[in-house]
Amino acid sequence: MMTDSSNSKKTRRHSRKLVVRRWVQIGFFVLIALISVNHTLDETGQAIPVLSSASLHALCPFGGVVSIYTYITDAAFVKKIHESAFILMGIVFVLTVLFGPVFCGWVCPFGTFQEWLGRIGRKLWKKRYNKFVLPGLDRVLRYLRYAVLAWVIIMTARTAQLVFLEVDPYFALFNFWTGEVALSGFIVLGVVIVLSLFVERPFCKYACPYGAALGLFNLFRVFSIRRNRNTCINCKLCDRNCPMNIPLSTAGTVRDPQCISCLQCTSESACPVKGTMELMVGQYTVLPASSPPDGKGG
Amino acid sequence: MKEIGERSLAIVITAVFVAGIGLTMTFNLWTTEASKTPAIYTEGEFAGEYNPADIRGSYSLGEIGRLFDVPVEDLSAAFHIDDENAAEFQPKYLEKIFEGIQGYEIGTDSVRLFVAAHTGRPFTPEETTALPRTARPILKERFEETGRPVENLESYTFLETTETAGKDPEEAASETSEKAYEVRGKTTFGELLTWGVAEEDLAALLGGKTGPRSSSVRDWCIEEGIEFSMVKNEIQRLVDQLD
Repeated sequence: MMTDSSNSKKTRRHSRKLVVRRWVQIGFFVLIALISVNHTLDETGQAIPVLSSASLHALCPFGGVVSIYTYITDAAFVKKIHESAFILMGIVFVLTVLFGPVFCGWVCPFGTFQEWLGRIGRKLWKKRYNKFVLPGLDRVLRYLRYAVLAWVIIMTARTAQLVFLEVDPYFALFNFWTGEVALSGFIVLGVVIVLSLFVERPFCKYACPYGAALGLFNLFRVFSIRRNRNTCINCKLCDRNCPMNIPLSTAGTVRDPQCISCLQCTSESACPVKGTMELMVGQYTVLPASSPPDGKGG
Repeated sequence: MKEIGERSLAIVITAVFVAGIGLTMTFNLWTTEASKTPAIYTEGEFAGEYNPADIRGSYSLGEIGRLFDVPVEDLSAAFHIDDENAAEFQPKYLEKIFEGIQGYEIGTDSVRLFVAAHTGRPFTPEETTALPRTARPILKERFEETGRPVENLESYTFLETTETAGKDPEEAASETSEKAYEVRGKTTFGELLTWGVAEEDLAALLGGKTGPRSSSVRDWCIEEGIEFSMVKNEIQRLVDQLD
């Protein structure tokens, strides 16, 4: 059981705005942007030394995922995919087994891009932001990304081509200057940009096939987001702050496939009581029935 | 229980990426581009030497020159690449430069043809492959140097590129779109099967078997010692029959 004073003391050490995550996101975004530009420069013989000039395909772990079938059956990569994509796929899988889809919440430059647009949307719509989609419709739409995942895997296996490339907004964003982006890619990118002003991470929620695959790891990841029922004051701030609209205040352990391990719910802005929402392995200690948590049961 | 905070997670994520990539780099497993080693002839007079048929659009002129012992100056002069960075130029951009030449194509296959002619190695280009007129004097000189009959050059198609290039792009685009199901060098077995070509029909044309879905038909034919140009029209006929 915690007293108010101990809560407040711990709250001061509580990360308020997840500054470190923001810097990690910026780091990966800038790195991928620079490599994409360098790839273009490399084709004209003006590449920046030291910096990689790899293509975006070579650095996308999802390329590894869609190539698995072809690699098993033909012992070859899908066109444009190389060993590096397979290695990144392995790295991301290891991280995901441990911590859930941290790739989505911390690394993916397209997720970061949507978050930045979301900040504009938040300024425009204030508290209405990220609450425009009706819950019933939202629940149905969230299955869409599994359909996209199935379509991409089946079609890539059948054609041995990167079929998703034609509609991939991530590729469009980092290659818009190259002339290699299909019109359909630009259209999807435009739609995502507009939707991001109303909904947090719309592509991640409803259409990202890689997010769909990684999200399944939430069912058995080692470190999970857990809510301490003993200290939870049931304020529902975590529900309101979750970018993926997951109902956290009723969960014990978050197993929702949409969780991106962004740790927003563990920050002070989303949980005023330190130690109540945490990324952890193991269980919270259950308090004896005779010791009610100051009427703050969750 | 053991919790992990924001800072620790950031360190772990970054460390796993750096360690994973660094480790695979150490063991030379980290590859971000296709291997630039063309296939070799497996038999005949040129057995063991690089086959120009396997030149990829992503090779630079410098790499092609080094692999096939063809001066980069000859390559750049033949294809109008006046840029001072001609050695970095990749043939995949030739189609864009010479787009709109009705009935013919100057692209990567043209570079294969030029290299084959320059080095005297056997190669059968696609029927629509042409060379710029500027390639002719270079090849003529090379034929004379190596004692090959200059008359053989007559079998190649040379085009006056400065006059024929630059046709209305919309017209060229519409011609291209009409050939959505055209069998080309980069067409894969996977694409053919997706278009509806029966695997057994393909196998009947290709000596009883077909290649992996991910492999282009031409690459596979090269590996199997089958002349792609000899089977291309037959495959196209199978595709056309689908309509």
